Amino acid sequence: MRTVGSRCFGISILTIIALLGFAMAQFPERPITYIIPFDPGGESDVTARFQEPHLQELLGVPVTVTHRPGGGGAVGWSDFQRTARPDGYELIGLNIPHIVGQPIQRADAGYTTEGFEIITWFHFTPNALIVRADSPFETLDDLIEFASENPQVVTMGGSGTFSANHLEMLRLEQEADVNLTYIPFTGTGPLPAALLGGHVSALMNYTMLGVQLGDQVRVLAVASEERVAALPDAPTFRELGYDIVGGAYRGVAAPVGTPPEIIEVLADAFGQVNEIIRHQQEPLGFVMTHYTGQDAVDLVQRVGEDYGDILRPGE
Amino acid sequence: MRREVNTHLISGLIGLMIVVVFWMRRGRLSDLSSMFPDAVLVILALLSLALIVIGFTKPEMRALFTEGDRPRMVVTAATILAWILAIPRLGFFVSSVLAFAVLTWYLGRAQRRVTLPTSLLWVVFSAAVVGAFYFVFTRFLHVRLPQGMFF
Amino acid sequence: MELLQAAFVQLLQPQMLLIIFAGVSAGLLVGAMPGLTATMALAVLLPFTFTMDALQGLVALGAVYMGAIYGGAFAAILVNTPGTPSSIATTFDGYPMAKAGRALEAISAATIASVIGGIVGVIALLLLAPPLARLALLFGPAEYFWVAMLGLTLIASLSGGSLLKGLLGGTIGLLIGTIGVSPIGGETRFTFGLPVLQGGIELIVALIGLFVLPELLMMAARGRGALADVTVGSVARSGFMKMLVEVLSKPGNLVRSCIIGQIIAVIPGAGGSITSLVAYNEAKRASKHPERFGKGAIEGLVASESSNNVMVAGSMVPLLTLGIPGAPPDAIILGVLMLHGLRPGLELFTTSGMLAYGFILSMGLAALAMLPVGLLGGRLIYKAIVKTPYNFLVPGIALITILGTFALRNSITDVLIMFILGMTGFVLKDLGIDSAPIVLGLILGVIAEMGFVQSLLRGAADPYPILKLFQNPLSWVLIVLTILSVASPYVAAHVKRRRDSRNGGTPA
Repeated sequence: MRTVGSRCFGISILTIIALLGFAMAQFPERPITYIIPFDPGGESDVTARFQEPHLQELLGVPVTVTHRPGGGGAVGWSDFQRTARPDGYELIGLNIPHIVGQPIQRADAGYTTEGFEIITWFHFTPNALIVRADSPFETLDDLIEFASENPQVVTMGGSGTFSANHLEMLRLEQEADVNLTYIPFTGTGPLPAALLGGHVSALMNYTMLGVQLGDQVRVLAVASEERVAALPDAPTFRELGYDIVGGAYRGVAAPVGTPPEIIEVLADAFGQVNEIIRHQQEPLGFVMTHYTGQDAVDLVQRVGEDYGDILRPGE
Repeated sequence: MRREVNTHLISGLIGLMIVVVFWMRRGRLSDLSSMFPDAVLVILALLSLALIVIGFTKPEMRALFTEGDRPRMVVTAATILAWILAIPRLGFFVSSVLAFAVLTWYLGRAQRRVTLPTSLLWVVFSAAVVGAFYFVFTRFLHVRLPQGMFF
Repeated sequence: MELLQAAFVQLLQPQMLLIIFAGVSAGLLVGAMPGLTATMALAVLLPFTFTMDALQGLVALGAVYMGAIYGGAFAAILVNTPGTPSSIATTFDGYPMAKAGRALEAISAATIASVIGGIVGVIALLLLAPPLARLALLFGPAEYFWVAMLGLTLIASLSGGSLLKGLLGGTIGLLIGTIGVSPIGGETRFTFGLPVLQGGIELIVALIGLFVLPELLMMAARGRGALADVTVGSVARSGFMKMLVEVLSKPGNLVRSCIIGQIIAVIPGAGGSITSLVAYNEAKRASKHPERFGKGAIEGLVASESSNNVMVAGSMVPLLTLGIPGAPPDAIILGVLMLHGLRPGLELFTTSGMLAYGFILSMGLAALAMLPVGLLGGRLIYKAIVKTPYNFLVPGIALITILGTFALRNSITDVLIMFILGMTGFVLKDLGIDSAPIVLGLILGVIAEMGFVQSLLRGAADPYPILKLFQNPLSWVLIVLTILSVASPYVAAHVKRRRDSRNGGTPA
């Protein structure tokens, strides 16, 4: 009985190795599922839609975008870490700082920051401080000056609690030594109405929104290293004397244990697609990036450290 | 045969039970996250108590689930539950064909005698219906339906 | 005006008309399936629009959206299940009509109401977009809170028997709505250790469970399909002309429902589910025979269906003028606009006028297309449901609900949640706690919570933050409406009693 069992075991191991070798040689040979853990229509989804046709062309197999929204991405990510097979045919969209913040914030996030094989971080949307076009705050200095005289009076809307937006505002408070009031909304969707309707004094959101709302708003500062192509008139926080660079990175990951050869094929494809869709995405306020391999892991770590003192005030 | 029960009292008790279960799983929350659910829990508790009081003072006695055949209802519910639980293990297709065929046969028996050829025909029919949906959902709607131990 | 004409002419190409018809038909089919939402229909369609030019793509999406919201009525009338959340109120009278053998009449009435609603929405969008957009901006956190409170007063009219039980149901709904990540604070609540519950209980999952499952089990218990009794002869005709006259003979109901639909549509985030419930409630309150509601009153059906189809074009107001997606499907349309490099805003109408007006007008055509597509499709679906023996119908509907629930978020846990909620709802229903108040609580809970906590946050610098809830004129209006809504049944009863006693006769 035992010999039969172990022989079976041996055979199946051999089969698996053979299959793996086959898979590596041929990857990809069947459709790839690309899971977006957010609702259709958001930035992650729109980007995936941009990428989809070009990925299909480059990889030669269909790439299917499906959605697994909920809990700010956590539902999709926890599910992915539990069930996805490390064969390169199941990919999931990732976001920084979500995957850094949630496991610290929540006792039961259901996934770990380290539990992904990151393929690439393909773009970056810097945070932007946005006010209404007729706001009395002409510059960032106006806003800071007012806020230091009137603590908590300036209300700043953003997307979600302990999101990139929220963390950036906390950092601005630290850097400028002011006291603001952060008002979280569910996602980016309700923010334009809140600002344009005068229900918040300013928004800390992404550059995309500044581009989308055009001349209805004024972007006081962007949290990128250089000025953003789509918003040439908006200064960076650094130019204005605040060392604030941050925003949301978006990327894509495979399950841990996916063969490095496959990761390389995919990283390559995503990198090429990035160049193809650059002319479509940059005008919307995105900054294209391509962090792969150790660089990608380092980025997560760096962001984690940057935000560490804010996320874990007790430690 | 069918016992009359005090619906107000039962409703109130169910409400209280929900309050207790949620309260125990509330855990530690910051003020921002807890003010709304706490308020809801308090209101729910008060409403439940009010119903219990009314249940004693002005009881509404009524028999439950009076319509139709009760065992058939229970078996149908149990089959659907088994169906759902089987999907991750047997895969969507296999479990659905099985459950569909079983339900068709079981419910069909209530109306007339089901012969063996009819049953077999129904199994084929079940497979065809489930197959058609499987095809449409996976191909056109890009839904990845669970695959179990078979496929 | 010339622009409008030119835009209209380009829609009359055969290819465009084909897209509109195909879009409405596909939307109708998706909408009629419980669990498959307008959002999902649009998401599936999205890749296909890449091969089209911007206008064609938008026209296709608009047509599918329109069709899907309308298609929800079919499931509501024939299976007592809101096919989309917008058709919850359609079940209240649509299903009783069907059970009374008037299913085809109900479908005709729903179709007429939907077409009228759709066209009204398009006209409002063409003529009133700028002022409506300003109205949308008036709604801040405090106003959202009061909108939710006003919505909760609907419990009174939605709870069949005891008001106390209705309130209990509504509160249970509110509590279910708090499951998941808190909208403000970002902590997980009541997840019971299940990571998937971080996403909360999806409204549609609850809808399917609470509405379909009890119906399914009753069918099994009775040993026949719910509509099986009435097949014999009684409904050969759809009574289209009769219904047309009937619907048009109550213009007040139509006008009121369309105005309600239009106003709620421009409030971002409120969505179609509330729209139809509010319109239903108001129709019932205004009616001379409120006791007929819930037993097959055509007015109720018309109120629900006309208001929710106004919303389709109505929610385009904040989307096209301000870039604010009011409902989840709108987010996809916004995505398509951005994909084609189009920026929403009033300048969209000047710089890309042909496109903007073409898109808007196409929704009007889509609304018209619902008439033939809906009447024909309705007949087919009706026949299929009535002719199918109940022992196929029960597993068939079960199959569709399982598939639909799963497809929503690709989650088998959602299916299990659907089952558990459905069984609970079944028991509660028999105890006299209706599903409608539970669903209402679930819809409004998040809105109420966001509005309340955000208002308090806005007042962080004030000595009494809670006063933020009472500071704006629009809040006062909503507060007054809420009080009126709570008090009106009592006032009406009081007035009636006075009048009766004055007239001398007091029939028991």
